[in-house]
Amino acid sequence: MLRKILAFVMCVVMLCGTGLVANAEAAENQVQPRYNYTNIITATLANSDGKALCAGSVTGYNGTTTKIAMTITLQKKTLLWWSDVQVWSRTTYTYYNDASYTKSVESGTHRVKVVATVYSGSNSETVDCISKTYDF
Amino acid sequence: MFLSKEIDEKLIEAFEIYNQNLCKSLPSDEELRDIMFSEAFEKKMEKLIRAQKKSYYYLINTVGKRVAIIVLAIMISLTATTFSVKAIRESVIEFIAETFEKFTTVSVENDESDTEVEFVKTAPKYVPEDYSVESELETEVLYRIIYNNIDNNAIDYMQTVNLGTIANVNTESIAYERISIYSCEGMKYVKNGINAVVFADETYLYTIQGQVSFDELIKMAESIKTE
Repeated sequence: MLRKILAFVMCVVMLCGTGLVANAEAAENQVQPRYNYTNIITATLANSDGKALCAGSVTGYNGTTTKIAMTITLQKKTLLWWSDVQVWSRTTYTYYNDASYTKSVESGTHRVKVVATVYSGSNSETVDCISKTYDF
Repeated sequence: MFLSKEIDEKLIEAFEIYNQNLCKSLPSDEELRDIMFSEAFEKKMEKLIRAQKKSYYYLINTVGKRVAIIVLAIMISLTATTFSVKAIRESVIEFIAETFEKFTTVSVENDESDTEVEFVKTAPKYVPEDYSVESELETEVLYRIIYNNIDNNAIDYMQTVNLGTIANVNTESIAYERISIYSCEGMKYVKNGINAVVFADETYLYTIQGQVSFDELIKMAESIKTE
C-alpha cells in the first residue's frame, strides 16, 4: 500500500512541478508597474558567430520622457534559477535608449533581461522585459 | 536479526514443526473435492491465470504500477502534442500579441529561430511631407530614425530583429487594432496622443510612432517592403 501511495504522490509531484515551472516563467513577464513614460521596451538575445548578442531598447515619449537608465543583463539558466553572466548599463538623456553587446558564453540556456528606469523630470518608473531563451 | 547459529537452527526446526502441524489441520483433498466455487470467482481466477502468462504481467500487476504507466502515458502524449503544435506554429511566421493589464507583449515565431542574426537596415521610402531626418542610430540588431518637422513634431521609426526578441508595448487603458501591412501582421494604437504602428515580417519587428495620422504611418510602413 505504501508503494502505491508513494507512486501516486510522485506522479502528482511530477505533474504539478512541470506546471509550476511553466507558470513561474510566464508570470515573470507579467509583473509590471504602470507605464507612464515608457512606450516600448524590447529585449533581444541572438547568436552572433557563436557569441551571445544581447540587446535592449527603450522608447519613451518625445517631450515627456527626459532620461532613461537602462541595464541589460545576460542570464544563464541553472536548474530552475537564472544567474547573471554579465551586466551592462547605459544612460541617455533623451526619450530613447538603444544598446547591444556581445559576450562569449558557455553552453546552456540563456536569456536577456532589460530593466530601465524611465524619467520624466524628477518622476520615474521602472520597467523590464525578458527576451526569448536561446540554447548555446 | 541474527542471534547465533545455534538459535537460528532451533528457530528453523520450530518453524518446520509448526508448518507440519498447520498442514495436518488443513482439509484433505477428498474433503476439498466437494467444495464449489462461485462463477464469479472462477472467472476471476481464469483472468488472473491468463494475465500471468503475459510477458509484461510483472509491469502491471499492482495498482501503483498501473497508475504510474497511465501517468507516464499521459505525460508522453502531452509532450508529443506540445512538440507537434510547436512544429505547426513554427512553420509559419506568427505575430503574437499577448495583452496584459499594463502592456501588450509582442513576439514573433518563425521557423528560422536557430539561425544567426544578420541585420540589414531598411529605411522607409515614404516620409510625410515636411518631415526630414533629424538623427539616426544603429546597433547590431536595431536601426532607429527620428524624423522632425518645423513644428518640432517627431516620427520615431525603429527596426529590430525579431529573432529572440520580446517587445512590451504600452497599451494600458487603451484598445489596439490588428492590422495587416503588406500581408504582415501587426497592430495599431494611440497612446498619450501619439499614434503607433507595430508589425513584423519574417526577419524584423518594426515600430513607427508619431503625431501624424494612421494613414501616414501605414504609408510609411508599407514603403518599407523590400523586393
